[in-house]
Amino acid sequence: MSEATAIVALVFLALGLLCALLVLWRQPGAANSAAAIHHGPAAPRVFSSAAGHSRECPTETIEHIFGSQDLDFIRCKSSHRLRRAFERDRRQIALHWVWGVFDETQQIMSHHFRSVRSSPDLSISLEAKLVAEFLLHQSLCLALAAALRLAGPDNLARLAAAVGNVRRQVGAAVESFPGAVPEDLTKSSGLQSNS
Amino acid sequence: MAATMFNALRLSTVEEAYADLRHRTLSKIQGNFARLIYLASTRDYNSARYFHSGLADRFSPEIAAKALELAHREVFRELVSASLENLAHELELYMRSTRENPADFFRAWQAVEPFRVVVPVDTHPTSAALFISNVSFALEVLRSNLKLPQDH
Repeated sequence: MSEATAIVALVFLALGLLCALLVLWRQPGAANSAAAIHHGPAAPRVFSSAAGHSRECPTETIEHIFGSQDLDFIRCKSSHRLRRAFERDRRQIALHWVWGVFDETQQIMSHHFRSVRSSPDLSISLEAKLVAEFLLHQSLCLALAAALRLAGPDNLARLAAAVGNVRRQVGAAVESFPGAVPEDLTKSSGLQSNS
Repeated sequence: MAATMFNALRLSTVEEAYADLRHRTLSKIQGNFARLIYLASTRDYNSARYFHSGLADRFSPEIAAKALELAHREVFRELVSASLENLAHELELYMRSTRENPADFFRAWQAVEPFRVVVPVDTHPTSAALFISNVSFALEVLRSNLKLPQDH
């Protein structure tokens, strides 16, 4: 094995380990603790339907979560304790969204692969493109989750928007396979093109 | 074709009812937060159906319910998109409109958290979480700015 091959193998191994660590880092029930910080035991019901919600999260909500305007206001108007609580809360809401998007996309792809396996219309090039977009999407989600853990959601708006854009591309690609994924499933996952 | 015409007619009727609601009722309520509370109060706790007697008389209970739901979603969407600063301002406007003692208002709102029940049905969980979180922080900021004592 040449030195270059070994380096490439090591890079892939490191990336794999990083992904595994990130997935393990995702504590069970972390999403539910998002609002519980301030809202007590009743808070999880906000997230209770996360697995089965019916629409894509509005773009303005995502922009708001990942924007810095609110944090600037909190910095000016409130105590250090409140600022810390706010940062923690926003991070949890953002992480909940990221992992939700990650899981939904994984579900839609699993369903898509099961459906197209025996399809006569199967196109290897289209499938390869879809897999590449899917992997890019999941990698962006992992990168965003890591950045959120390390820094917090403010100033990550561009990365969040990139996740949204790739998500729409995956949705459009999945939809281009007629009958591959039932309409209601793409809707529930938010994987729909803007058209 | 008849069905399309019927749907178009229904849609225009809902739009008319919505315009009527905005003109006659919502325009007289100061601030989006107060409008949100009002619109949520027209929704039945048990059935989640909206009802407004005046609007139902002028149109029909179904059309009125659809117009109320539409208005509820629209006002909620505007408040979720609003910055925390604007939301705090809206909340302050609402608090003053209730003429309640601020200390009592904050005590009740932080203990009972009535803002949890004003979220429209089928709102995306992330939007609902963001709204609830923002209202909680807006309350805390207003309370600290008014120099009110903490209950905790």
